[in-house]
Amino acid sequence: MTSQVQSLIEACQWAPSHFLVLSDNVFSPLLYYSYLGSVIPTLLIAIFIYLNGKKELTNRLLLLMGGSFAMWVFGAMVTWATEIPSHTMFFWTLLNIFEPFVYFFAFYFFYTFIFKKDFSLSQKFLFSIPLLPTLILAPTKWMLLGYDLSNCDRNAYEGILASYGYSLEIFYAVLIVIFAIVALRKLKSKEDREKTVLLTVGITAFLLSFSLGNILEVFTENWYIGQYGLFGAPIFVGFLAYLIVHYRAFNMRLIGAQVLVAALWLSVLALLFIRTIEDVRIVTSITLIFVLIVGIFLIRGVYREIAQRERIEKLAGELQEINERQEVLFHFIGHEVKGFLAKDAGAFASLSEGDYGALPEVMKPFVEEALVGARQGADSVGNILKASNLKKGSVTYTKEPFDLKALTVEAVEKARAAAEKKGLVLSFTADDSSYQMTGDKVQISDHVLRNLIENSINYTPSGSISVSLKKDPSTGLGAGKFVFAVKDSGVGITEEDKKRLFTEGGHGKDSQKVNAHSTGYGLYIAKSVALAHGGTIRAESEGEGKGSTFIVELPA
Amino acid sequence: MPTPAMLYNESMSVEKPNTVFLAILFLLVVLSGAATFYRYIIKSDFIYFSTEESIPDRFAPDSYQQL
Repeated sequence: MTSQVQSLIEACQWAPSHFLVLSDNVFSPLLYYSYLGSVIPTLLIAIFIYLNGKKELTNRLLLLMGGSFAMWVFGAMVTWATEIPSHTMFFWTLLNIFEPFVYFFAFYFFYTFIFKKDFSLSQKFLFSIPLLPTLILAPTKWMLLGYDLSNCDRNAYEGILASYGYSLEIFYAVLIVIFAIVALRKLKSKEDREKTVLLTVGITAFLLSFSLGNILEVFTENWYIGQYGLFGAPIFVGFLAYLIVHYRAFNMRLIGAQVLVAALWLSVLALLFIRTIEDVRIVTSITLIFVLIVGIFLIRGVYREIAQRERIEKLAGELQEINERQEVLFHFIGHEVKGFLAKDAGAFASLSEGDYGALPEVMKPFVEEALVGARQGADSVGNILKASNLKKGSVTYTKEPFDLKALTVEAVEKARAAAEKKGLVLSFTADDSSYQMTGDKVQISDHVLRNLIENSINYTPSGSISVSLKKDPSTGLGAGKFVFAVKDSGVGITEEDKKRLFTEGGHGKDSQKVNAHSTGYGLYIAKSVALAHGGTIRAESEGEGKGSTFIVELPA
Repeated sequence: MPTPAMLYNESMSVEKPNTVFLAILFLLVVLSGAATFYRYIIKSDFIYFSTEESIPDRFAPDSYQQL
């Protein structure tokens, strides 16, 4: 810097800047209000949306657009405040770099949002190549000619590349409008068309007001005009928030409250920089308008939420009443059907056993089949009723001492005929320990031991089933635990099926293909009975077709 | 909170070529900013115009009068 330049700068008597952006050189503290009031809501909504889906391309592009806009605002604030010519030159160039990027990312965001797809490679090339001259020639005299000391305005003088940047802005804005028209002609759904119109209006309001402000201030050399262009940003944020809230039935009260609080923070922050009563009036008026609008939305949101809650409570009451009535009906039907099936089973058993004389040979298979069917039907209905009672908590358990090993042997022997009929090898192993425990013998036998063994038989087309019982003393369950396991070489269990295996009515994905009579309540009941005895139940399988092991642990 | 992509009940994750594209853009911006920083902040390599007359034509930036 020559001494002549130095003396000219000193003659201008510029104030020193602090933290790059704070300085008495700024013509009015309201400048901070227009800049921060635009960039903070834009950044807040962009970050908020990005954090809710970091991998979504649209969210990333919105963040990049908000980030470019924030860089622009920061650069603009520095150029307003700084008294150092080299800072003005650097940040002014940054402004001109980031300005077209705001438009490029806005267009890219708009495209992915509306068309639900990314640019193709050729589109990426076509739409981003115009940015290259700005990036490559940014540090040259084509971007900034030099520093203007002719009137102490602290301005850089822009070259032809800056004007090229402004034409790029118009280019991207026009592309948005063209693609919006294309989308509106293509889209059939009313909702999609409404979304397109809303986003187009919001985004073009932002970009055009931003462009007009920037271009007009350059050509008129009235640097205050640009401030008004910034107010397009909150308008865009408003449109974006409306899109999200309206089309997703989002909790209006929450977003309303967030916006209101942000507005109040901003107004309080703005007051810190204001020194004249006139400026206080302006800031307060803007804040009042904002708070009024958001307040109306907030109150409407609260009303709507209260109405929704009342409606939900009313519906929940009605639903409970209907459920109770249905449950009574369901129990009545269940008991009736079970009674008829039990009577049928009894009659077929009498016929089969020859209580009414010997059956003709030709009838025997039919009677046997009818007997099995009636028993299966009675068991299925019984299981459903049992599950329902367990859910209601109306099942009572008796407590009596019994030998778990003897009970297991009995369950294995009862199932042996069914296993042999399918050609399966059914084995049982247990050591000589004492297996005395206290609990509901019938429930354990019918719903845990027999249920798991029969289940394995049903889901094992060929191979073997090994039932084992052992005592595990090393446990936190007091005197140790009994481990009952049924291991089969059957159809196995997928990871997905494991999640719903022990749930009420929870079938495996293909379980009914293997066992058509499965009600889906057997394992739910087994789990409930095991839990009621202070035990646990779990299933292990390496996957489909690799067999499975059901393990029940009961306190000794 | 629903994201713009979720408004369409669709997930549009950033795939690798896209990340590469955005990374190249980012790199170009950083390089451009760094070159500008070097020229103006470190080297202070720019021209001061003291009068309106000394400001050159935008299309002929070499036609200036250096102080």
